[in-house]
Amino acid sequence: MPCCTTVAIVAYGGHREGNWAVAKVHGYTSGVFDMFHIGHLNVLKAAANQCDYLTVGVASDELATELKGHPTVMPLLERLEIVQSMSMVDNAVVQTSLDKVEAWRDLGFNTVFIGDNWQGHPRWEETERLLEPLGVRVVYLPYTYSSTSEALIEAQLTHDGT
Amino acid sequence: MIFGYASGAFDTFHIGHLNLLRRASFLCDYLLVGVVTDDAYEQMRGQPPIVPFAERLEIVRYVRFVDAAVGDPYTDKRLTWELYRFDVLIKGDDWKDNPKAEALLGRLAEVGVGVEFVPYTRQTSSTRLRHLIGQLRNSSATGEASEAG
Repeated sequence: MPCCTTVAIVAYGGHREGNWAVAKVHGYTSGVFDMFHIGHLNVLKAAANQCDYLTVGVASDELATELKGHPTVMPLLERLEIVQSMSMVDNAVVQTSLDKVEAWRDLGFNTVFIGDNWQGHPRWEETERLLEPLGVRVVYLPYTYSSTSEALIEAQLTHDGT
Repeated sequence: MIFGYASGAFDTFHIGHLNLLRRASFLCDYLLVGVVTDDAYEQMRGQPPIVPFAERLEIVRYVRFVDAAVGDPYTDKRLTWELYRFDVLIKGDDWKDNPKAEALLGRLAEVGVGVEFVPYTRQTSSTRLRHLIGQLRNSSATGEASEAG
């Protein structure tokens, strides 16, 4: 970005974070959100704390099956509705691909949040490279290893049914 | 101002829970939600819930229809009323069949508290979720775990 634009944004109430001058932060994070649990809530909370407006991409059934190797327990519409119902989520949308540039074209966010378990991964290094000229920065959030949908599924299966 | 109260276990939050909370929010001006404590759950169901109380409470707290969420240790909602003094108790209509329902309705009517019923979402319940998961596990291979990135 040319330096005069940076100064203008900061002067009108934006802030600087390293090389990034950000006015209002429009954050984006995505996930499958199957069997909504505390790990999901923590990601949404952490992301919302760092942005003014939060858009959440919820993986389509096809994308989720492709990523996880098995279908989700809850269908897309339910997962989407639950995510949209969380008070810190401003907008929940369907995510059909991992392509963040494509998502940016549709949604126009300026910050992407992802768990730090992905930090250093070649796909995310590439994503950062592709997003930088678009004025989009990537922020890594602490990943909670203790709660996952897989753990919840295990707990469900060992619970004696009532 | 109508002060409403709805309670539940909210074990593995699902669309049925969301529907209850959404509908409850339309029946009052301020919605307080009671999340059944681990002990109360075990008393009622004979075994602890899958998700610990603190997590169940935290999720409900962040649902946009909920004004406030608290723990509810009482199986008798009249006792919960003594504590919070809500105007209306909101329950899923599956509870109407419960033999204790009539007695509780009477005791609440004594203190001017009404009960509103919302339709119970039939296609999803925690029991059905467990059944679905079991079926999925048996029919397909589980792949490497990774969140969408």
